[in-house]
Amino acid sequence: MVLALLLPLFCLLHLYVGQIPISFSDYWSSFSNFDATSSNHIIAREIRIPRLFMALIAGAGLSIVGLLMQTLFNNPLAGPYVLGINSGSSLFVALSIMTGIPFFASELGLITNALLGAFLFGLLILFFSRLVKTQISLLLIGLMLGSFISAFVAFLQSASNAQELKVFTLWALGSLQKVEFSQLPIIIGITIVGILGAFLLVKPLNALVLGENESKLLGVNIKTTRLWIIVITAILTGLVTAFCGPIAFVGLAVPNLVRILFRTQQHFILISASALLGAIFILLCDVIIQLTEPFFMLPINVLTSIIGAPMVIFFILNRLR
Amino acid sequence: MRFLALTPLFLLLFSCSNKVDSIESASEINSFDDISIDYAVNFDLIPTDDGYNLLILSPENGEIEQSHFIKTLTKPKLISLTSTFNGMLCAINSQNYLSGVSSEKYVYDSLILQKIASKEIQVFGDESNHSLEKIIANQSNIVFYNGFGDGFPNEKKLNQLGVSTIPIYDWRENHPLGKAEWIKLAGVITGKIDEANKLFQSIVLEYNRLQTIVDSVSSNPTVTAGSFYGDVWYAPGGESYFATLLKDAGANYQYKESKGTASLELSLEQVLDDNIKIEYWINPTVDTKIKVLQMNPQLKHLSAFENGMFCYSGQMTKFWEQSAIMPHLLLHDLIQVLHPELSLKRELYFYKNIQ
Repeated sequence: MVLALLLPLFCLLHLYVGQIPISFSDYWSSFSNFDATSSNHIIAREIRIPRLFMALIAGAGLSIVGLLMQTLFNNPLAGPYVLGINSGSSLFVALSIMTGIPFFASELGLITNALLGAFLFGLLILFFSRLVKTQISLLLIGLMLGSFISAFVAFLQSASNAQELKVFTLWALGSLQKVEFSQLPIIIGITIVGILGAFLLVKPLNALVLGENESKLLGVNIKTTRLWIIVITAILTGLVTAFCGPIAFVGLAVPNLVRILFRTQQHFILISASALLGAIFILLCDVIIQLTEPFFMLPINVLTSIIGAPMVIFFILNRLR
Repeated sequence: MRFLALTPLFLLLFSCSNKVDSIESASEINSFDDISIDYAVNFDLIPTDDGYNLLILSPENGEIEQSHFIKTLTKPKLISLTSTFNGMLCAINSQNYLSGVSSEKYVYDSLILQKIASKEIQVFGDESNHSLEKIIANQSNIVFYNGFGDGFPNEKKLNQLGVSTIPIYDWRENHPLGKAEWIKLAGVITGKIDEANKLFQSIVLEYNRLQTIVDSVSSNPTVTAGSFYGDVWYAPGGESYFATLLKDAGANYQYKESKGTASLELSLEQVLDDNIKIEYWINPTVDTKIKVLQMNPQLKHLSAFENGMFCYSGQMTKFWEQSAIMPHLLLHDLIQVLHPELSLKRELYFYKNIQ
């Protein structure tokens, strides 16, 4: 309940802060009477609104996916990236920046390349998930894929020049500013589908907490549940990675934090709270980024860990006490 | 300025960091005259009894950072890992002394490309990622590098083996003619200081002639420069080399008042607020409008997006290799772009309009 009340407050704060003062009447007129020559209108509608929505989507999406992964693998260290979906994006983005391969270096752009990579690796993981019987095998395959791709990307990096390295490194540090206002409807639509899909899995997820065998006894179809979890993971992780870069930590920390705070295994509550807390967390990080922009530029991926890690340690210690 | 009366001999740098090593050399030079350095502030050439001391100077306080002794040698073998220095060697027809470059990807000169293809010139990779043994096996005398990092990797080992390493800090200069003046170092090393001096003088004359043409214009169009990396727009500082070039081309550069030569780091919101009505955007790092939008779709809101974007990105190798040694052509391009009313009659050499 508190989280649901905090979210709109953080949204308003997020819209308010920034280097260029934008009033709420600017926001209103940027929709009612958009003037393409007014920098305030452009900043309001084309920059701040998409940035706000991407913060919400990245925070909520990655947190939900992290929760699904932790439940599926029954491991609190699992997160959105254990299946290697982001590795697919990284690989395709690296190929587009650091090789002269015409297909990748053409006018597809980083976002399309990242989407393609996430999609192909999502399919690959789905294929593997049908071959293996246990969750742990799938987890291992995901981790191995990630390592393999990381090594390949590292090789490309070692052979690239300083400018290419910088472009790739900055992509890997994440950004909420690459989305256009016109792209929002489709991104929001896909996110809603992914989140609704997660809510539809509440029952089998609650059963999975008891363990694989117990879930089977309760009548849960493990293979189908696993399949849908992977599909949702691929959709949400792929979407966020493509549009924002690989934002780490949120998907790992937020579900654990939610479990510590709510002390329940009810996935309806866990999914709702993860979505809200994840969104608030990214909004908070982005507010800090906007406030510090006049002095230095903090990448979102850096700040999430800088703020998040001490926060999680604090909650864990508090709980132990 | 006095020129050296050199016979076709070649000079060789053979030591560095205030350390002078002995080396076999064929010294037939009678005297080593002063070489005046008029625009560059990051190096100096001091004549000695048997060669020159090359002093690499700090851009901050002019103090000596490195000292390299240059002595004569009949046939220097040079590895140049910097496109700028390749361009300078080409400008005085000294490609024949090259035995290595970083990569054919960064070469524009057709003769060097031919020699790479015929294996006369080896490829060594980036300065931070080279094979030490390959350099040693090449038996070259000097390696020239950009010096973006902290010294040349394995510098000491190479120096011990008689291979000198010299940074080409033209990129630290804040005047276009200062960058070009590094050709005098190329002239000293290849024994073509007369040719280098004459070429530099002609560049200075042409640059100054173009500047006087611009003095007559009544309006200064608004210009922005730079590009996005991640979420940060990097724009040339108000005292940088490129800001000087824009001023000399009669531009009203958006960030001309900023202090220092270092790039400014600006947010997307700041860039849009500052440049929404800008007339020209010079040097996006890409060469098509689609790629500009991929960099950040909001850039379409800049007035210059329609028809005022000019870049050299379509021919990067040419720019990397030649722009430092041809600042007059760079200035000519910019004047032609910013002041079409002057009707300078020449095709753009480096730049093109982004469509």
